[in-house]
Amino acid sequence: MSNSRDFILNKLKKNPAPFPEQSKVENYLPMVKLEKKTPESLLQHFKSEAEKLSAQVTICNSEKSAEETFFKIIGNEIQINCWSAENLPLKNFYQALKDKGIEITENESVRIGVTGVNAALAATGSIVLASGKGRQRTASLLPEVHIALIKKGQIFADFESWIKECCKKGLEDFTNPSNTIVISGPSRTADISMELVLGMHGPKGQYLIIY
Amino acid sequence: MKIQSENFAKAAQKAIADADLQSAVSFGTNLAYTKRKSAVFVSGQDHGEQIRQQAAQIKRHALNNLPQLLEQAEQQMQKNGIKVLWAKDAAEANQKVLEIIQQKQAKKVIKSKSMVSEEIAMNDFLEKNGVQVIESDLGEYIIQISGDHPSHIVVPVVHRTKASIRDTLMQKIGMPHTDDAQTMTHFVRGHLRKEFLEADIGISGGNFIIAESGSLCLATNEGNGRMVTSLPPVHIAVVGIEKVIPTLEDYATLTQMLPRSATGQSMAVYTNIINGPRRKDEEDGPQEVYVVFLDNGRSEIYSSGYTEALACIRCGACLNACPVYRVSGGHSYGWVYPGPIGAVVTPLLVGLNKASPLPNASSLCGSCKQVCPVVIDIPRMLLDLRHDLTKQKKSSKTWKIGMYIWAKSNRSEKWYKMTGRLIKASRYLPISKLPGLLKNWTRFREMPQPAAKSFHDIWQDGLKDEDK
Ligand code: SF4
Repeated sequence: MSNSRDFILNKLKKNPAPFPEQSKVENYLPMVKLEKKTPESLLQHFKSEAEKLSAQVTICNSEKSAEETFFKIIGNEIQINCWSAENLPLKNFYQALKDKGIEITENESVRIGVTGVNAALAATGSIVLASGKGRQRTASLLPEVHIALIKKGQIFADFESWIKECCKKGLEDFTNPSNTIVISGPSRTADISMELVLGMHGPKGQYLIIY
Repeated sequence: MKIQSENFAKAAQKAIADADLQSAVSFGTNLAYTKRKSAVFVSGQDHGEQIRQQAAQIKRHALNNLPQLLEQAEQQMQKNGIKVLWAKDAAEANQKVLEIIQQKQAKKVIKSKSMVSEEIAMNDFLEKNGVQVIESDLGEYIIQISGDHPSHIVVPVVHRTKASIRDTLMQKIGMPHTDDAQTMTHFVRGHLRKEFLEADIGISGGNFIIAESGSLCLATNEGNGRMVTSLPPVHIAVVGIEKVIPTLEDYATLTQMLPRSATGQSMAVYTNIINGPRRKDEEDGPQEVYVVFLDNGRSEIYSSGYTEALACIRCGACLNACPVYRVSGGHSYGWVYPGPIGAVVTPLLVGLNKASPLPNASSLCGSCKQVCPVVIDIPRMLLDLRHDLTKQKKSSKTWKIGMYIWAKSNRSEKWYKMTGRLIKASRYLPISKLPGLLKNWTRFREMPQPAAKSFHDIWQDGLKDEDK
């Protein structure tokens, strides 16, 4: 095993740099130039980009109305796959679930998955979810509908500014979770005659509740 | 997969005569081509060009430091709990994957889309060794149950019509009759969901490896990439050594350029960063993660005049832009990587003698370079490969005699004028098709009538006029 390793590395090392004129990029341009970066304009930009990806976005003004929006979305469902209480931004959420008799389970057949987010990216309408204790991957993957609860303060301008923040916090912090996923809209495919279909393997619907 | 690139011309002719294929491929490539433009140039033409140059610089800078980056990536990955293996060639990679499978006594493997696994013919190898392998990308799954091969690196079934896909799904997995793409897709969803939950091992490729953090990065739309790397207890990724890049910032540019160039999406639905097996306090995720660094000819390319080819991020934009790919379809190229980049990479990986028509399967129009997110000079490499072919004396006798005559008549004024006069004289012959050796040139078109006056004549006349 180490044989192949050394063989490959030695072979590569025998060569001088193939593109000597190319150095490291000094100032990275972001993929998308955003005109305005005030919190309000980022919020609106996030909403419109996410909607382009077929997400349903609701902006709420209080925890209470965020909670109400949530219960309206799930209708009569009595089971959900949900992150643990301390990983969700709504304080009384678990109590409210209990009051309504809603069961929390990771059973594969559950139709609703509920998570918080680590960040939301305005330029592309994406949400970022890192794995961890009480933050199971399945909640945003197996159910037909994924509902994410987002705080306004979690919205970044773009992928680049989120990455910058990660660099600031350090690589240790970045690699702590076994998996970080940046999700942009519901699962999709266009493999059959280029027709867009939502919900190939992941969720068919995505609801984003921001407050 | 058997290499059939020597057969390019015949296969392309067959593809040209296939009306279904023509309409499917031209529709698919056109759509992707148009959508790419608005996504890459989202903040204007100049900005888009600057970002392309930035992506190009990132990849070339990475290649400059390839061996050091691989060592750094290995070290960081091990720190993250990933087991790193190295494979010189296809056989070694397949053997190592099989060993892991056998050690885990696994029976069923589920895969997400990976061109590298096609390159090393992993499915065939594992199946011969009694392992059940299931593709989970919708396109790849359709390919697998039809016994077909992918014809595009991003849209594997771009050559198939909806009706032919429907028939396959009805025959092979008992789908009820429907002409609705959504119903078909959701039928396959239900069918494959069971497989995900039962699989012992998930196998994926990789789009990028970030050296500084030791992360394996994938970009997928369907969610199968997430399933494959999250549900089974073991995840194995086989990745080409050229995929390693230095930093998170580099990753931020490239992982956005990829979907914008590939399908015109601003982001892949699932931009997946994998840092290792499930942590002690995590509820799900695989218990073990293996990454196989695959060489398989890449270190050879690294030391050749074609190093640039290793910058490719497999977005498929050059396929969609190529007038030759658009009519000949992917299968004509005869191996795993089709289109302009395939015409470069195939001869380099399998040998020029097994893919000699490919460097000539291009009009050198330059579209591929123009759309490439990392500005790979494909036309330059195609020309160099043609040069290599000539040096190896791989061109045919007739070609050589033709070129000899052409060179001769272009080098002497006397001969040049004489050929010119001959052609002019043929103006009065009623021919629309050329005979003999030149037959192919007018096979699909009329012989144009030579002009009454050559450029030389006009020039001379002009000089005389000026004298007056
Ligand atoms: S050569 Fe360039 S355009 Fe073609 S697949 Fe590779 S990265 Fe994309």
